[in-house]
Amino acid sequence: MLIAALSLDTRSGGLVFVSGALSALIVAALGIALVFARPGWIGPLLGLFALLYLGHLLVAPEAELLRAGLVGVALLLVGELSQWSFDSRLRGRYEVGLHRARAIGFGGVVLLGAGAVVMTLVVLGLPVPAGLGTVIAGMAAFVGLVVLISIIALRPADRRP
Amino acid sequence: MTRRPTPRLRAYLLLGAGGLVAGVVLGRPEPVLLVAPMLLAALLALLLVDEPRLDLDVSLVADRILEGDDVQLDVEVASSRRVDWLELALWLPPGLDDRDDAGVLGLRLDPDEPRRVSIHASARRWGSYQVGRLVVRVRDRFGFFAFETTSGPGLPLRVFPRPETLQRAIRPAETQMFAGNEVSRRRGDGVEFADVRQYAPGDVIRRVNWRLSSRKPELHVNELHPESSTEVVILLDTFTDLIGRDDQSSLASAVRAANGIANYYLRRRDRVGLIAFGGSIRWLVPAMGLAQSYRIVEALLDARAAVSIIWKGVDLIPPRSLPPKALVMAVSPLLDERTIESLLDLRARGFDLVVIELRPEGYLADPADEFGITARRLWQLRRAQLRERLQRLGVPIAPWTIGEPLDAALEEVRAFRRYARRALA
Repeated sequence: MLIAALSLDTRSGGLVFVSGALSALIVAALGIALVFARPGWIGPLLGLFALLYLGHLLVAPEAELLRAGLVGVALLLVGELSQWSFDSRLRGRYEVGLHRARAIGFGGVVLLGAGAVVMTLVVLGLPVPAGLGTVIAGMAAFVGLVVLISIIALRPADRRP
Repeated sequence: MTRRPTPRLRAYLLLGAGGLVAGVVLGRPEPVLLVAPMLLAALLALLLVDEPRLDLDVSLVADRILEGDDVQLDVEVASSRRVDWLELALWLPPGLDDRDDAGVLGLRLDPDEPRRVSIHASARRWGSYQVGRLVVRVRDRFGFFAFETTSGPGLPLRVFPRPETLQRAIRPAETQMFAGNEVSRRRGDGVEFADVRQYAPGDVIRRVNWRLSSRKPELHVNELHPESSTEVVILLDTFTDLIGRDDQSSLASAVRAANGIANYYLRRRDRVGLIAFGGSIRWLVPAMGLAQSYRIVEALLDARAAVSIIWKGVDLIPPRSLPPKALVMAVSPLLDERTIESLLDLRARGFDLVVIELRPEGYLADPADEFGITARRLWQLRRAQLRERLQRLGVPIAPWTIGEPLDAALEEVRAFRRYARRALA
């Protein structure tokens, strides 16, 4: 709950879509997931947050590029912090150095996410000439991305007993 | 190693795909911006994921321990690459407990720097175990993938039952011909005085009782009790195993008692044999010495209560494992008809029989209602009747409850032997 409150602070002004009753319910569900250690809930809850944002976007007339990027980073932050919360509560003897390495990894992911937002904003700011060529290039980039993800994801892992 | 993506990675990828589709459908860049951080994190994880190569070596500090002792497993793990998150979980069979209650060990490995960790467990129950099966899980740097594997089949560990302490022996009715520590009831060469009798040709002169002979017209000689060995056969009832509160098992107690009895008589240089009488019958012919002690312990480790509906009697026991004049010490809860009939049969065949009765009451829950109380009383009456029947046949019974010293229970047998008349002797 604390992590959610820190990650999605409704008083920040820019994230007003989380101040509604529905989002309060999602935040409560997130709190339950954190307290009762339900890692499977985090993905759907992030999805619900994203849906809420899309709903908010539909009624917002002007483009909110920076806000969208911030929300994206915030969602990533929620996902990462939730996972860290689950990991830190694992029953067992864990070395302190483990959590330090994990914190570095977590910080790296969030920084990269923020970098991705900045990069996307820069790309969106570039003047792109309208026309069939641009559409084809965009489609090719999208399909290429999906193919790349599929190839990497389906890369066989060695199985040894 | 089995590679498994975490739910977080799946969620990020799904959200990323959904955001891209929403961006195309809505014709707005915000959904793409929304999912861009998650998509990039997922892509990065997919690109950087690398299967770790681990070298695991598990060894047992001691593979033979006593019940209640600690088991120490040394695990050495090394990797040629850096491992940021390594989890080791030891799978313990029932009967062994994780002493530190650690559950999982979390480590970090530097390249080519082996780490050595010790895992402690305590052996709650005797038996043969396979320990050392480790579940190994390695997570990548960002925690998006988990690689899992299980180490080999495990190492054999034998936990010997902690023997019940026995201070005094049960004297057998008859001894064997070989020299030993037990003063025989027979008369012959020995130290203990037995009686005097009139001199007969062939008697040794030094046995003449001169003090008595000087007052009598004939010579009299002393008669002595020789010191002989005894043969003890432990009959372990494996038809029944009662499990009580806190997982206390009647068979476990019976095995401890059998081990204690065997140790005691073997220390006295007597010959001890074992018959595990139950669903499967196992036996050890009476012998003496340290080797026999090990054989008995090994046999006791394999004692299990196997379910069987076949009628089994004494006839199935090889005659060599039940030598004549042997003291048969049965350890049984006296619940199975086959055991009871076999004990009666043994007595009828003239064996010197002692029954150590594991009181089943200690393993049973208290009756819940009036009906249960009545049923319990009827059952107890039947058991009392059975005890009386055995005692009338000259079989002493030592009722033994959980937690009570075995010596205290055997005192009943000594008292019985001292005062009761043996019906079939």
